[in-house]
Amino acid sequence: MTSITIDHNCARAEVPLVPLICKVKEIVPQTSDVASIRITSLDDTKPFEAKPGQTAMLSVIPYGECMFAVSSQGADYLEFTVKRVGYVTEQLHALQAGDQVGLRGPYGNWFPYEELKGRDVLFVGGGIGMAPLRSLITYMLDRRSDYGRIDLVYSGSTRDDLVYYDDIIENWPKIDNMHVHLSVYKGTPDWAGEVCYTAPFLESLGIGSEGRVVVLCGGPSLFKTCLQSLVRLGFAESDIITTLEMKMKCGIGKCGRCNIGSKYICLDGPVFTMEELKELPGNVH
Amino acid sequence: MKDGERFRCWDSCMFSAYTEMAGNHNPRPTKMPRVRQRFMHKLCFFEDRYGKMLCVGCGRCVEKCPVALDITMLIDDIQAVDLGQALATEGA
Ligand code: FES
Repeated sequence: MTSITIDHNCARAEVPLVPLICKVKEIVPQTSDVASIRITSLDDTKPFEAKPGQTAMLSVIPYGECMFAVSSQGADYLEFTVKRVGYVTEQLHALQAGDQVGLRGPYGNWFPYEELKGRDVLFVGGGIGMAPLRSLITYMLDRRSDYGRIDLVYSGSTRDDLVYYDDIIENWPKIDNMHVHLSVYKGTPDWAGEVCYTAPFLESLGIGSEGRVVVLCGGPSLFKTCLQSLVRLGFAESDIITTLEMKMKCGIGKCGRCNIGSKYICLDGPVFTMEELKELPGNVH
Repeated sequence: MKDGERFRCWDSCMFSAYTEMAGNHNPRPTKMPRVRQRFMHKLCFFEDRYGKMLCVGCGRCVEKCPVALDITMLIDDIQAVDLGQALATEGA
């Protein structure tokens, strides 16, 4: 019998399903239900290198494991920005610095950061959609001169639902040739900015499609409406990049949870261009 | 960790929870996409991706199915369907 070889990116190639025991370095609260969890290995080194957009399987022993985008990285940690929505994320939020967790990865493909060099990039995101976007934004900011103008159009339900508040309000707007456009869906007295849904807000900004690439990540309705807006603004489908989410269990194309047709999101994704998504059967999102 | 317990349980791609995510979004919410995934994955998707079929032809699923859902008959039925027309009705 001939065997089937699977090409995956897991750092522990020979045992891609066995979690590496790591520990929580720090938990940074972002909003009432979002926190950034920094994971380091037991000897205080970085568990593995992940490219922007890649994902990893984080487990709270013995509750279960979930796939998350690596939202950013430090010299000795990987950061996951996680919204509390279910059983495992509930447990993740209850962790404290020093607690042990399991980690395996990285899995999947990554944002085309090489091809984006020299180009203007427009990021469009909503709510927790910031997590995967952030991995590419921080990568680009670390190599600022390699990239053109960066625009970030970001929305949340209210002011208190915007994650990485300090960065989007304080730090990023100060960066040379970076423009941050924020809106919320529901205004509150402490919010002086725009109150608008993402798609009309995006269209109102007058950002042209000329030579620009879009990276889009958000919930189903944001995804749909912003996509229509982007097409109206003249963006080509090959210049719209997005990242998908699916329930995942194995992460290496075995279990058939995450596939859309013959594309496995855990191996061939999560990053796709709209042009590629069009080829997939059924409706995405 | 020093102690542990090995826990195994049944799972199936025919269950709704197989693909249901936290937050209740489910990309295969009804029987139709789940059955489609089961047969297509076995006979088509996996082959597309890895060059091998997942069916070894043992016939046990046909023999043991409690509701006599015969995969071979199903595939024959699908083959007999006029694809153009089926897609048109699905889109309607
Ligand atoms: S998670 Fe198992 S196939 Fe992708």
